[in-house]
Amino acid sequence: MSHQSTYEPKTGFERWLDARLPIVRLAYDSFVDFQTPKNLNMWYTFGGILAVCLVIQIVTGIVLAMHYSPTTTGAFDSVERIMRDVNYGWLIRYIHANGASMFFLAVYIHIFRGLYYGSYKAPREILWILGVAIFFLMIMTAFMGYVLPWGQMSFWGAQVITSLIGALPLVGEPIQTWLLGGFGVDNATLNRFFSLHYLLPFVIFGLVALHVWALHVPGNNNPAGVEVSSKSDTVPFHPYYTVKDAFAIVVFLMLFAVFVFYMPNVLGHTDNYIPADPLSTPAHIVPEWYLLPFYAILRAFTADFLGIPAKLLGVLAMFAAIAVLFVLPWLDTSKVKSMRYRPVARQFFWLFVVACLALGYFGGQPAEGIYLIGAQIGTALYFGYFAVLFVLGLVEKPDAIPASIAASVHKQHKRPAPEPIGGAVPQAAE
Amino acid sequence: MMKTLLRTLAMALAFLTTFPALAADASHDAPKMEKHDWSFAGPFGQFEQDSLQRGFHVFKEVCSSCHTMRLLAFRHLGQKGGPFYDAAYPNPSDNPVIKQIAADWLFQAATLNEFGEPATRTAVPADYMPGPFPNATVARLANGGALPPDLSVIVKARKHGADYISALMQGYEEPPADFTLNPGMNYNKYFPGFQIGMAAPLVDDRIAYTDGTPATVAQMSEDVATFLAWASDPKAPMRKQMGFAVLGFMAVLALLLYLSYKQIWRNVEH
Repeated sequence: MSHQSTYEPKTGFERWLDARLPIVRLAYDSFVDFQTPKNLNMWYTFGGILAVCLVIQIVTGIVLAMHYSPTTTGAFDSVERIMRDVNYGWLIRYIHANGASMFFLAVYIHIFRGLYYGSYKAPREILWILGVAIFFLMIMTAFMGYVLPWGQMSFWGAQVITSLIGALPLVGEPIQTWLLGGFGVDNATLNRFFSLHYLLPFVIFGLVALHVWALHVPGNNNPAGVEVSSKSDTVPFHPYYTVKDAFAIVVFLMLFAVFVFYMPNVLGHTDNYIPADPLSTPAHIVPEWYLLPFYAILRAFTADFLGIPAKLLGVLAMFAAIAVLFVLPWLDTSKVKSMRYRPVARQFFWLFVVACLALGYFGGQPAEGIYLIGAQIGTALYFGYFAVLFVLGLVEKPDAIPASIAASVHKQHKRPAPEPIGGAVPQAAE
Repeated sequence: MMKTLLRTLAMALAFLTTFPALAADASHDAPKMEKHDWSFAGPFGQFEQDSLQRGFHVFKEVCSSCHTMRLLAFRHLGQKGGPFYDAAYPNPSDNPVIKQIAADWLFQAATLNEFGEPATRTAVPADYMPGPFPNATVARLANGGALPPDLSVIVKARKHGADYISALMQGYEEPPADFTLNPGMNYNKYFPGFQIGMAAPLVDDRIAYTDGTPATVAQMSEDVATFLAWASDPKAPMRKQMGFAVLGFMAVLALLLYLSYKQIWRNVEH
């Protein structure tokens, strides 16, 4: 860690251990006496919430894997057997299925928070890139997990998404066949998706460790977007942020519980309770809600361009939508981190949020007529945001940034000036 | 940030509520699904046992002559929350009612008998409900080419769930004059595409309820939808009960944590 360690081993055993494996020191310096900006708001609690989500998914997933059968003939029934005959299997499966949605809800808030406060800017580029890599792996893991119950949407979703690879010129089809383990989505596909669905969360876990490490070198960004300059800017992580994060985590888990116990299926698609049938295509094939914005971008391209087929354009755009996030630290040319002090950029940020929500809506609708036009406008706004950030950083005039975190907090709390005695005070215009 | 966030959410909400109306397709005129006030709906709702029993009666006498119920074992009927649960028999396989119900079915034994022929035996509570046909091909042959779907998770597998099942039972009508019905098909205003292979399964007094409830089409539809909703999610009663304990616990914990948070941060300007 980049700061001075303040850990002092108190017992003989701790001293003995500290000289050999300073693991207690590491934990102490990272999560107890870690100096954290004191102005972090509730949006900053989602990092801790996401850590809880990952652990919940891994623990419930391991139990589900004990009862699940990754075969085309056994998968659907084994999932229903978990729901009916495994002790508390219904609870574990509903937590796991809704947990994926909660995980994505939290990660989207986490990402938007990073975008708003400029958390991707120097010196946190690696931290941001690791985060985008985690997000990408989450998408892969969630997609493969959705295939496992082997319902209609599992099967046809897998069919649609893997056929995207086949859109690549020349190498596409051999790669698709290699990935599927055959010429179509079948038992071999289900087997390998199960294997990878079990593997990737542990890769995510490793990346999360690096993400936390990369966070602890420069320390947290904060809503003011200025770096820590003195001790008066910070509070120790424990107890200040342990208690704040714990409160936020419990509130988040309450929302989670409302879904698990009272509407466990509203976030899923009814068609996925119909066993997979390669001979009957569902009327609308849609992914889970959290992937709809990317699905909308994929389907927004309907005409060939420069000899590139429309389908390939859609595939490239969909991957570009994530890839652009990797280079965002160098696309945003502004030195001012927080949107608080970028009044123009802030408007575009909220437009970007609306564009993402709208893309999510259009992704769930058939790709035709007014929905298609909406998805195309949304796609333009999505990519446009990054272009705007590039230009805006060069031309905009940001507001004055505070001298320090302590100063920014102090200013906010300043009382309004006392009214002049006896003088007529003009009423504030409403 | 909070104000802008609220404004953005309001914009998004306005968009999501008005856009579908603008884009609505006027050519599709399926009637609105009537929202029934189900006893099992909502966080406090629980299945009514007599309605479940009547629903099972309808299923057994009517539905099961064409439809399978692959994922339901007879013992499930007697488990906690089930139609024939009896507190005197914590193990549903001991419940004489369940044994009696199972005994009404013939079960295809897994192995051939000593003459090398397929054998059947009387079903026991541990058996899963045998279907009416040996396989899907025979089922199609017997039903004019249409395969009656398995009903084990049907309420979870259809939009509008139990409302849809109940509406479908009562949605049979004469087709409109300009509608061409394919031979062997039936017109149902709630079925996607309006043409359904299944003929109207319920008529008044098709079965006689043992508890004296008048067996109207509406009553039978409600009962069978209730039973199918239970069969699709038999753990729902336990789930809702546990939810209260979990949420109650977390509400108290959240309050304590909030007070701790306020206490710890009271002297920090932030």
